[in-house]
Amino acid sequence: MMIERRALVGAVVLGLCIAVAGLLVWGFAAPYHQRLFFTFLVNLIAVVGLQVFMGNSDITHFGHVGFMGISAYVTAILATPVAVKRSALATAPFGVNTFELSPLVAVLFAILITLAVAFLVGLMMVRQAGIAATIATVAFLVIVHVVVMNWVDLTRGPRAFYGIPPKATIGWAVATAFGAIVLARAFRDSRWGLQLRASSEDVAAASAVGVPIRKLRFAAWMLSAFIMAVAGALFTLFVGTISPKSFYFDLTFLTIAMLILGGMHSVTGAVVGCVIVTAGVETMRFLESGPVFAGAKLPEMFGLTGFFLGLVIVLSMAFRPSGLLGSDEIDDIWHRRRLRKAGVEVS
Amino acid sequence: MNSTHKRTLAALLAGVALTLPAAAQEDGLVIGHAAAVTGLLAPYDGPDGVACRVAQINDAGGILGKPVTLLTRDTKSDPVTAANIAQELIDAGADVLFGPPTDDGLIPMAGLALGQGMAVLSVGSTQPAFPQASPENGYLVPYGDNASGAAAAELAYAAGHRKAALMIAHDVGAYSLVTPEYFAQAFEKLGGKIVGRVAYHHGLADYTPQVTEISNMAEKPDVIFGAILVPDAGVFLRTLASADVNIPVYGTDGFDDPSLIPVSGEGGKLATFITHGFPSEGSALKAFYEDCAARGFNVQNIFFGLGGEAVDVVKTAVEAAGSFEPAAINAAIREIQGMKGIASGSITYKDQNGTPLKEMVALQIKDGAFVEVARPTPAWVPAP
Repeated sequence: MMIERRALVGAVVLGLCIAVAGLLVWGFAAPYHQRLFFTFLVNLIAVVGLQVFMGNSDITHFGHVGFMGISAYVTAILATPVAVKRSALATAPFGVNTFELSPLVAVLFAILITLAVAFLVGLMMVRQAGIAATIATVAFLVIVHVVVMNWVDLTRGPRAFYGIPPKATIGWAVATAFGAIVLARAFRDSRWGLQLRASSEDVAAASAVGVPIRKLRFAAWMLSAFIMAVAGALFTLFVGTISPKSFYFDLTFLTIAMLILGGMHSVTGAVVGCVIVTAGVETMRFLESGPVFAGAKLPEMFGLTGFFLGLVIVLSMAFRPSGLLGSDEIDDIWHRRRLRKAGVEVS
Repeated sequence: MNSTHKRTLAALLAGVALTLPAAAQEDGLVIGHAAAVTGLLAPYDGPDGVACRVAQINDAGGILGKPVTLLTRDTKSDPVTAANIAQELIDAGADVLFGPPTDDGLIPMAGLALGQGMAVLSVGSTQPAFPQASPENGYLVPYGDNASGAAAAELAYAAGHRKAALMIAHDVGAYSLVTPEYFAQAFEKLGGKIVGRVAYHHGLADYTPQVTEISNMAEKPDVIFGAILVPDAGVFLRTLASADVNIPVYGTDGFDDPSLIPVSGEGGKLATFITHGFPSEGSALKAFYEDCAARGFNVQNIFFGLGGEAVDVVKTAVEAAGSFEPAAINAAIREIQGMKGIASGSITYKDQNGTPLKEMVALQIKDGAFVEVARPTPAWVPAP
């Protein structure tokens, strides 16, 4: 996969912004803000993972969180200490309550199993496009949820799965986010990514010039699943307690809102959307609990965050339907500026 | 730096200042409540009840002569937000935490609070899985589902019932799945028999298949138990009555909503259910509701009363410990024995592993209103 140097520089700069923010948070922030930043990073990785498939193939993907769920549960089942599993998973099949793996090995297994599922589902997915494909992704999410909810012996069903060693650190999360951004950009600006984007705009034209649309959709699907699997494992090793609800419609809609706001055709857009929604939600959360601000006690206004999320989506759909950044990446913006300074006419 | 950039920087700095946690509070008890104010779990949490009880206590001079500070944050019914909020409240100087009604938010909260030995109490959860997973500092304020299932079994057995059918649902968390099994354990221990299990989903508009299945069982049940939520509990009762299958139905707090009466119609006479408390004439709960309504609070349901009861549990512990130290409060909660609460006449945490043994209330519907028929405390409670 050959990609332009400019795209690579753009990806690295974007990743470095996250890394610098991570260093500042790690060095100076209160524990609460560190947790908040970690949550932001997990969401960011998930949104970037979603962008890889949705942004390049233009198929709305509601099932991405299902991959997070599979990976999270596999990590939890393998990495949780036997002492906890003996009581929490007393009737577990496959003898999973008789051994424990180190978190890193558990994550590797989790990624492999998630990719195996993604492979099987992907074989069917790539044959569809448009609404049919989108409905199939919703169905996938529901299937994962129903299995996790009802395989009580293995997952504790609707009850929380607890006791997972909270081994994830901010350093790991920053490194993973950096990797996800670079990977997503490398795919987007590779020949494959370009061909897939072209096919999403005009299927007939793209296939007429020999673009292997199904193969490319499959590649984007698998890469997206890989990034989601990493996000799921990281999430599990961060919170230490998961439940089927953690990987269902709430997270699906939050991540899709972030991506749509930033602009789903751009990795920079995914990052920007994630930053804005996280900062906005946190500010609203501060305001809604009736704080004292500039000497005045504000009234309690619980529900403000939900209102904010809805408003953001309505406004962005109305005024910027293709998101804040459209199809622009960070380096596209610089490049245009440089051209303008040089006196070149740019649209 | 041009003026636009300066303005942007100023706005950014203001934003950072905005989100810094509140400075440590002055001495006195600080309660941090990560409450499900909005979202799906909102009906099962009691932030207003907590706020009202704190206002009452402060009007009466506070605890140990110091005012109580309440910091309430909305979890939006999301477990990750609940854990993040727990850290925010700990940073802000909370001495004790109240949590949302589900264990996926509560267990990580207790993990974060454990560093200071701080207690985490769930205002609305009845699932003993939480204190079981967080044995050092996790507590329920309500009774556990194992205790209410056992109390329902004892009442049903005492009423002469010997053959029970269970209603089982997988779709609303552990409540409707596990509570019937607790009932079964207690009922069988007493000498009763479980003659069948009937699957259902919440949100069914029509319970005819379930009612038909029950009436066609090889061995006829003389009682039905289900941890069903309203409005489904009412629809089920109505369907039983209209099919002339007049088998008594026992349930727990999922039935406890005024809407059960109109929805169940004729079937209302079949219901007996265990709940946390009842505002009967002259009760502490009725007095609490009336005073809170006068203070401008909107009394929604029994979880409002449990919110007040949660504050009283902490008040009792702080007064016994003579200290606002988180670890001292935690240790004192474990010693509480026979405390009189707002909703319950007797609350014991001592030797109960975080799930209190409480006096409960059994209600039936008579003449279009709930009436109290018993105040049971189960003699035997199945292990969670």
